[in-house]
Amino acid sequence: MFRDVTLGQYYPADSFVHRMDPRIKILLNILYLVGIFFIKSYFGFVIVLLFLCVAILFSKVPVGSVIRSVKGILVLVAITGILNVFFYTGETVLWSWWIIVITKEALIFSGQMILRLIFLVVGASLLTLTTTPVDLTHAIESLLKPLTLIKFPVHELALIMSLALSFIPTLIEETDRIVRAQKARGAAFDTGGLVSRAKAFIPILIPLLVSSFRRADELALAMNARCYEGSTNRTKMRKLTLSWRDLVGTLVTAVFFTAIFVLYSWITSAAPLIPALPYSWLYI
Amino acid sequence: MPVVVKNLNYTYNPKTPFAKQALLDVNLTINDGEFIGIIGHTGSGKSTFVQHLNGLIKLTDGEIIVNDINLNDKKVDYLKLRSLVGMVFQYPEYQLFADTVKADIAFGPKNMKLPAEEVNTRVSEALKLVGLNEEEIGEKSPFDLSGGERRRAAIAGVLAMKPKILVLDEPTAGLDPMGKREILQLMAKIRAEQNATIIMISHDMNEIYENVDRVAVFVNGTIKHDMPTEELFQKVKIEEYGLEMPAMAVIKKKLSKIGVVINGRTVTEVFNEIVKAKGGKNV
Repeated sequence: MFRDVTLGQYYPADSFVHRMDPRIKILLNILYLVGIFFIKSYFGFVIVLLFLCVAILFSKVPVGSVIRSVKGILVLVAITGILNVFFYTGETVLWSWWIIVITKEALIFSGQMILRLIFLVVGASLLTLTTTPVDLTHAIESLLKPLTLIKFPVHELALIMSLALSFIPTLIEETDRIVRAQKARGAAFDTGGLVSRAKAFIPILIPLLVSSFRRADELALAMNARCYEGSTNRTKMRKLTLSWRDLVGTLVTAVFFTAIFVLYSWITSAAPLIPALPYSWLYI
Repeated sequence: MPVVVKNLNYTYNPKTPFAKQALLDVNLTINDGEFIGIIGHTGSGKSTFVQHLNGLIKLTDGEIIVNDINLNDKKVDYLKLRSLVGMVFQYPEYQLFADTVKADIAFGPKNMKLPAEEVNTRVSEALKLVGLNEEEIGEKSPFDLSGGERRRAAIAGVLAMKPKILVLDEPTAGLDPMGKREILQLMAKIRAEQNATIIMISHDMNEIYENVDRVAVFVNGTIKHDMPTEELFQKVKIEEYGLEMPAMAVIKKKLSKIGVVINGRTVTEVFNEIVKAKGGKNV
């Protein structure tokens, strides 16, 4: 029942993108997310699409898995799209009834908003699809290291994150077991009204809570018994190292995003000229 | 009516990189009132198999008939199936949740939508059957009990549904010797009083040897051997499957080499027969 709930939706494969340094992947992802907000034209989105196609191709992740990640935000996308159509104030009125006015500009704007959201999620999920949660935490710890200068407990934060991550499969398994055990005693989770459905989760939540506390206690005890001490002089079993892949990946991303930024500045400066072109909405 | 399983196959996470064939052409018939043991290495498909019997794992490929319920039917009454096939999971005490032991045991019968009176009688009966004192323990929180008591309370929660077939997955794991003995005695009692069919998964070969009538050996998702207990441990080299010979079976084998044939299987029986063979009296 809870098998499908996975936070880190890692897709195991041996590919160019999988082997890239997780730190670089995070940084490039940030660049990508920022870059997307600079896109003001459909033409720019075509470039992003091209970039994503290249990235997906070199990650060996099936397109289906990538698209599945969009499914979760479809409702959000739809709501954003609809709200923007109605509330964006434009000039060219296409259709109006009572207080509802739909303008051409609103349609163009909400279309871009939808694409932006979808590309945002696809890009972020490409990171989690190709990087194990453990690698992600290592990378975040490494990237946040400068914060130790202002006494920020980076290592402890990373430890909490990686412990939480490593317990997710255990907790899912535990939940699964308890659900099965209660089902075996005739519990039904998918029938009845809202209240009875909510009530049906008590027999799962209480044992789960009890066992989580027990596990946390046991883990703390085990760490203490092995004299665990925070960040001072701790070494890593797996060191993150940069390779030629990171250079190539960065260069490819840089090329695409230079194109986007150039396009952005060209459009802002040349905007008055564009309306003369056919299908001008494609460019603006 | 027996449990009949034919050509059962099952794959976890089919069509993904994590796909794993857990069961491969499993065939087994379990007769009424039988006490059958299921043994096998970790990951050999034992748990996957027993979870098919009460529909916790939906049948995807094969045939299963439990009493008069055919799991191949389009609409299976799972509530009826699950009160017919009671299942005690590994470490069942971790499923306890209610404020009191009694309320927890009542969970199953309540789900069966039995009238309140019937629920109460069943709770009392189940407590008595597992040997817990209703006055003393019934109103306590299940989290205040000892390990062995908690396990028996959890088993009572399943017994209160009065299953005709009882499946137990390593019911004695993690208990002290006395707790183990109590659980095994309880199973014998359930069998005698309720005339139930019992299916027990266990890694403890001594426990299997001394208690069950028949053993099915799971190896890599399929049943490699299915024989009466005595025959299995005499004929089959179970060490090959990563399992251990029961102590009493080893002793009997060694004694048979010097011409002493022993029929019993429990420690007491074997001991008495050895004493007899030596010309002494029963102790």
